[in-house]
Amino acid sequence: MKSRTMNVLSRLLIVSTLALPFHSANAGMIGTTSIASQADTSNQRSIVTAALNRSQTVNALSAYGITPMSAEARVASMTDAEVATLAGRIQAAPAGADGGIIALILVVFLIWLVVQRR
Amino acid sequence: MVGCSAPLIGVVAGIANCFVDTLRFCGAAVLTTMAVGCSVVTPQTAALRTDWPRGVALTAEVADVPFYPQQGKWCGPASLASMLNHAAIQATPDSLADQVFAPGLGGSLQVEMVAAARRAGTVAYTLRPHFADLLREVAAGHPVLVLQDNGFGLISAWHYAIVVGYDYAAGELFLRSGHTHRLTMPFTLFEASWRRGNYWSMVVLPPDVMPATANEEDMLVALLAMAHSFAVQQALAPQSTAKRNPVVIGLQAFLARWPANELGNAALANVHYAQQELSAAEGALRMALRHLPHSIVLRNNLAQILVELYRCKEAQREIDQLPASVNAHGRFGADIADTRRNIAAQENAGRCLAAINQ
Repeated sequence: MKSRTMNVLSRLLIVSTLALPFHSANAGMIGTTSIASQADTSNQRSIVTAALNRSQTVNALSAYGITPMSAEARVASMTDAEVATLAGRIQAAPAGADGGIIALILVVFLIWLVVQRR
Repeated sequence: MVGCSAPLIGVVAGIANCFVDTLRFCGAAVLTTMAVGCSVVTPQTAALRTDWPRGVALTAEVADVPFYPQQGKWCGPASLASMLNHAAIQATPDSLADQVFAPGLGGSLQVEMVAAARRAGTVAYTLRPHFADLLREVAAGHPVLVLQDNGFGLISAWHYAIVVGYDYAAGELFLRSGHTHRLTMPFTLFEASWRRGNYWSMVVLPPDVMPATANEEDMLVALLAMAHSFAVQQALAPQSTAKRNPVVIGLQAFLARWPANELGNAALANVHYAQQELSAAEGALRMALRHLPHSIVLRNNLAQILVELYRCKEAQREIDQLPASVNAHGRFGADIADTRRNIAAQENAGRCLAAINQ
């Protein structure tokens, strides 16, 4: 049970400052995320990482023609784990270079057409 | 990248630029390759021949899935609108474009498709990358959103479509795709395109409907992600929840199936607590403690709620049931100490109900 809980938590890692609002409500109540989160040190590190990832991702999305407000709302609905993967991905992958892909596809298509006609 | 296992890894990758028109000529390429050896290109289709998933019908179709013909590169918004409509949520491609379409990328990211479904109050459940799971969901009446790569070789042509049915004897799947209301596609050709997107797919269901392939851990991850999204939205723009809270509905359905899940139980009570529904939170925790009498978290939280209901004696009884060993340096030692302090403070301020009322 415990290891499963840890597993769920490490996959969620919802420990950012945007986390569930009742965290600050009343000392004494143990929040969902702290049940799932791990030792204190790794926790603090992941809070920092998560916050960085979020702002990075918001910026990255804004660069792709999404208004900052909309980008923020989009990222807010993601878990920290999702944001983490996305943050790295948008930077690493030239995913948006669709113009180039279309050109390539056209070239291949034309070659194929020519070959077919013969 | 956080060390997360199968389904969430799938929620990562690329952008779908909705290349439907490339289908025809890449089909030719795939068919040629298939002649070489289809078990290499489409291993899961080959495996189905000898190992059809048990209990899954050989033919099925969810006929009432609405269809929005894709405009431009909006296969993401169009397919998500269909999925949400089928889950009884109002949405159109236009209303979703601002949530899932990135003009600069010319497509929609998988993570955003998942997040947008969540925002709409549905449970977005990413399937394991198995043909058997996809078929099982469709057979259960759940359309499946898939990511395909309709390109070939090094060229990618990402596309979102919805599998609404299949006929195994005929070797065909039926999809809402692009401009085609009911696209017929061979299993092999479909797998070749689906495989290139790492077999990514998801179902989008009302919170009280469990995916046919749901497992305890993945389902809880999906629900807690939804709870997170809901809480953030409430914090950003508080809305009076006239309708029942979808997170509560989802967690209750989850606990009906897995009643002894500690985290799920704690989460349900916490969602009630966040909505200031203290009696509901108390009820949830008492129910949970029947299944998990030794849970420190559940008992501490029950005590804290009782304090806030001015039932100090009851609270004290609960907190005193915790073994002495967890109080001092245990994982939740600080929280338990807080709860004890809160009980004392409430008593000192004379705010406790008379014991006779407890």
